Amino acid sequence: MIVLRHIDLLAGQAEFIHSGEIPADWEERISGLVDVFRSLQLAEISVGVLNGALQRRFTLRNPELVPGRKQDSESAATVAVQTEAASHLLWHRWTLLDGCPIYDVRFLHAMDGLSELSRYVGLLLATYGHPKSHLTQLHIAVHEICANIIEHGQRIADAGHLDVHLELGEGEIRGWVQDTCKWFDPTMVQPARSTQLAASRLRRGYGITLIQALLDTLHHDFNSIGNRITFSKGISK
Amino acid sequence: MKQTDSNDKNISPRFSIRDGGKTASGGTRMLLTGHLDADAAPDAADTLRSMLEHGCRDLELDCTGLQFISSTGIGTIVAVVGEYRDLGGEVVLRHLAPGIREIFESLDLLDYVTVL
Repeated sequence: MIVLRHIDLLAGQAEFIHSGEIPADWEERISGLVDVFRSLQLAEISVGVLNGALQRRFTLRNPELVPGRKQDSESAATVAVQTEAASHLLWHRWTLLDGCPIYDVRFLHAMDGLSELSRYVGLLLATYGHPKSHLTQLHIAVHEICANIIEHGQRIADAGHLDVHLELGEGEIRGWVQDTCKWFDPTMVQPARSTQLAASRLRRGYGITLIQALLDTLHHDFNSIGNRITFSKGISK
Repeated sequence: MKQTDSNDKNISPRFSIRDGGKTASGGTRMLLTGHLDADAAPDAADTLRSMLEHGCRDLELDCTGLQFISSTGIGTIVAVVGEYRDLGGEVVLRHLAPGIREIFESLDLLDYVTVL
């Protein structure tokens, strides 16, 4: 079974793991996945053999692929990839709808998974292309939303998760983060003034202010699953 | 596609802070690269605080390679700036990516942190 272990769109790399001996026709077997991620402008794909621990890795490089926004040629395509159990990434889906890439990803609600979640979101946003500054800010805003949920959210069940949904539309990126936590009242969250935090030598407390400053719209809902933070940011060319 | 070996290739972004030599004014330049988030911030703070304890006062943080900074990373830099000033020192940030510079600006921190 071949699974996606890691995807690094900034570096143009993805890593697939084959749990068992690599068959002779392994390249053909992963061609479907390769085609999908080729559209994400991946320049390097590695395939490894996993037997408890990674023992051997092969890397493919495609010099035809260059960084930049992918060119959408298909009207719709959907891919779902199950990741290995060791990852905090439970699953991710990629859909191309009328030329608009839509990503859905589910991560475990765990502090030690935040870095992986954030990196993944950053890689997805990187596929949008320029201007990079807006994408960096959106990446940071989504990171802060997820960090606040993971740190402060009261999970309804022990094994909670976070769903991140991103729609990379022309001129605007919309999305939401859904948790599996108890209801929280966003009006009870009072953002601190950054200058006061700085004067007090406080290292924390900038998150909420940052989220509000970096996003164009921000909305909180509570549904049958948990809290959903919906957001959008215009991406001007 | 060409097949190559890459056993030593690490494709996970990391944060590093390392010596970048002396500045024109004789200060210390440190190079920040990667993602300065909650995982990396404690080590970064420890490094910069240790330098302060060992007499460093004129510090330049070259952020050319800094790709990402979280609120914890921002708080860490702001706190370090304050700690250096408390002892008569100064910290300047250089070569911030536009997106990250705008974050300091949106937080009204450019009056507090020197960004060149």
